[in-house]
Amino acid sequence: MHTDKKIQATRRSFLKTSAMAMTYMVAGKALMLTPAAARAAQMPMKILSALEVSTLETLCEAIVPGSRSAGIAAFVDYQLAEKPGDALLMGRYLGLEPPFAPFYQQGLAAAHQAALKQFDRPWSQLTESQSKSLVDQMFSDAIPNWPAAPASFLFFVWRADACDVVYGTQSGSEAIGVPYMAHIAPSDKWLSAKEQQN
Amino acid sequence: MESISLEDKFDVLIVGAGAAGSLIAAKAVQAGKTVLILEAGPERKLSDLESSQISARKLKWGGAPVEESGNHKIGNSFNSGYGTGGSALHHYAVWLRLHENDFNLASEHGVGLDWPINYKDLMPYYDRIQAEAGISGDAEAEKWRPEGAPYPMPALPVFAQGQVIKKGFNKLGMAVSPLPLAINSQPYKGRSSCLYDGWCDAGCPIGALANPLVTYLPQAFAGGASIRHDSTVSRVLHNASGRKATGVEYFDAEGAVHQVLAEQVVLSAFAVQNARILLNSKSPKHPAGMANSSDKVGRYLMTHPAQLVLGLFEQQTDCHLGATGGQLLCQDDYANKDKGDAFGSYQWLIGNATKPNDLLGIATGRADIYGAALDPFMRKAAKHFGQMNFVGEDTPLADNRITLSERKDQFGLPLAATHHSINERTRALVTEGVKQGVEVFKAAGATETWTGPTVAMHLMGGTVMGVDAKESVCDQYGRCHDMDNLYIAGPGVFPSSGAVNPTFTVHALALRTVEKMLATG
Repeated sequence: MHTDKKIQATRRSFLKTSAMAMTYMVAGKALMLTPAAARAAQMPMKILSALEVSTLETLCEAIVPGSRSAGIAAFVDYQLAEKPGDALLMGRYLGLEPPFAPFYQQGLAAAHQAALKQFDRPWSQLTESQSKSLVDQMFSDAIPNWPAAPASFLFFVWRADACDVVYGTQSGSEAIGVPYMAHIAPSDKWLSAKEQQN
Repeated sequence: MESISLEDKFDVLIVGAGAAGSLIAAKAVQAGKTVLILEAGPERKLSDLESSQISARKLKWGGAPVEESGNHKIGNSFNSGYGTGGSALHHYAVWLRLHENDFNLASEHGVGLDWPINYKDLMPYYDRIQAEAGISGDAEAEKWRPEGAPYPMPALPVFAQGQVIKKGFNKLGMAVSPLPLAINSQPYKGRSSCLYDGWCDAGCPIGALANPLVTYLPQAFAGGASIRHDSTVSRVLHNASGRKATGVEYFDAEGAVHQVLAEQVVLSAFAVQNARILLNSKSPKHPAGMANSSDKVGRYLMTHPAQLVLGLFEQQTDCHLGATGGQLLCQDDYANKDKGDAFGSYQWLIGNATKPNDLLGIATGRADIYGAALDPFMRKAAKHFGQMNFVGEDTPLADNRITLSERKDQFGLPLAATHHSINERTRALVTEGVKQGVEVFKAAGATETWTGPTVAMHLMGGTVMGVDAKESVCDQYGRCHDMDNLYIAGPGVFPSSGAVNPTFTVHALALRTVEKMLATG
């Protein structure tokens, strides 16, 4: 659980409204955090269960390294809780109809079952090579009896979400050598948990 | 029906605050008319336009879901806008004219439909619009360009990505020109010039790109036009004879029902929603929906089949620089529509400014790269990536259409159901074009080349214009054949798609429409 001290925010962490900044109510006050900061502060999820969070984080980390700490689960959870039309997940371009939560949750349940069936343990306990094996199978629709949207489509959607949090930010873009050059900056750079505690 | 609020009467009532509606509103108030715009989406301001591919998604369609079927679905959510400025708020400002050979498909090729006008009818309107809104380009270098006034601003610069790909075209004996863009290469009419940072898709907040927030909406509001956001029009109202539209009914954000009356009504809510409103406006006088005695409302829905050719080059490309729409243009194969097994014109939009993420971003272009290989690829591509976009002509087919679904939205209104497939000849056009594109990239020295999927780009048709009231919905000015004072504006009136981006033509047609309205109303 987070504490008031953990999420005590400096002025810098009160980000202006942006795609990535997410608003949480803490002790009656609105606190705006990036997905990475929300994860570091262990902010409560609105839609996803703990099992769904760990499944999403592990499989996305296998697809897009760095997405776990970048806050993939916090980002997805926050957007799933938005009202129809306001969710900014790329799935809205791909023919997904809101609400998006059933699509994500059914997919995560299918991924969880696949992990249990093949390795007898949840994603969070898989080795790196086991995670890789499963995402390889998802990419090529090779997991039999997959009870959700096609695995390759879910792979594509989750990869896009993970790329959003890793490469779609000012710091993520600049880290690979793409100058961001914002007209209107979408948010402050990623906040680390340490920065928040200052 | 619960209580209905009956409100003031306006001279002109416009449904939709996009490119066409904004222009018509501006011209109408300048002629002394009282004008109300009803916009389904929320208010957008320039200060809302954050530079982020993620927040850019809020500019795209966020209204009632649109059902899609067919072998080439229309991609409504990506192609439609929502809120002030409509789809023109996020458009890429590639402002090209239709060519002379785009207007007579049926009579010249036995395919699709003819327009009720020709290029010469539209040319003066293109010329006037480009002078008002501003286009940067090089008319002489654009050797395929139909007759017309030269562009009012010099072309935008060509950056490394464009220069690298250009070599491939030239090696194959093909020509390229600067891409004409409604983006300022120099300050124009009080608006600043472009900074070339590739944020067009997120909406341009500095006024360099000609979106409605900086072109016609300020003129409309300065002249006294009103706008109501979050207002979803359900149907058009009519008088006892059924020939005259008397106003519209709409739902506000809280679900309250309102009626507004007007002397003239314009539907400019984009291709899908215009047809949806008409089909939902059933009455004893219009049992199949308003303006639908021909059974043509919803038919001939079109979208340009488009496909990316992508690659890596040894040279540094600086692909983040420039405009999202591209830097260069090639229309070498535009004049030849009948290619035997394939049919249609096509063009290349070359050297699109590219961001790391999102649907058209670097990462999404290579979904087969993931895990440990992804970050090294991203770092390399950030320096050496290049892409260009094939844009092909769609063949107008009556069975590609918008109908009303059994499913309902939050207000109890039927959803729009769309069906769109491309035929064998259009598929062959795409295959032929993309093959050429891969050859261009190889000739340009790409070390690696790949292609994206065939996708839908732009929405057109569904309320097509024509001479014959039995074969079309509206006349050459957008006035519905069945109605005296109901006009359609926007790309929905196109009887054929050509292979050029539609926004410039939307403006030119809207100018013709409003001048006709003002002359008759």
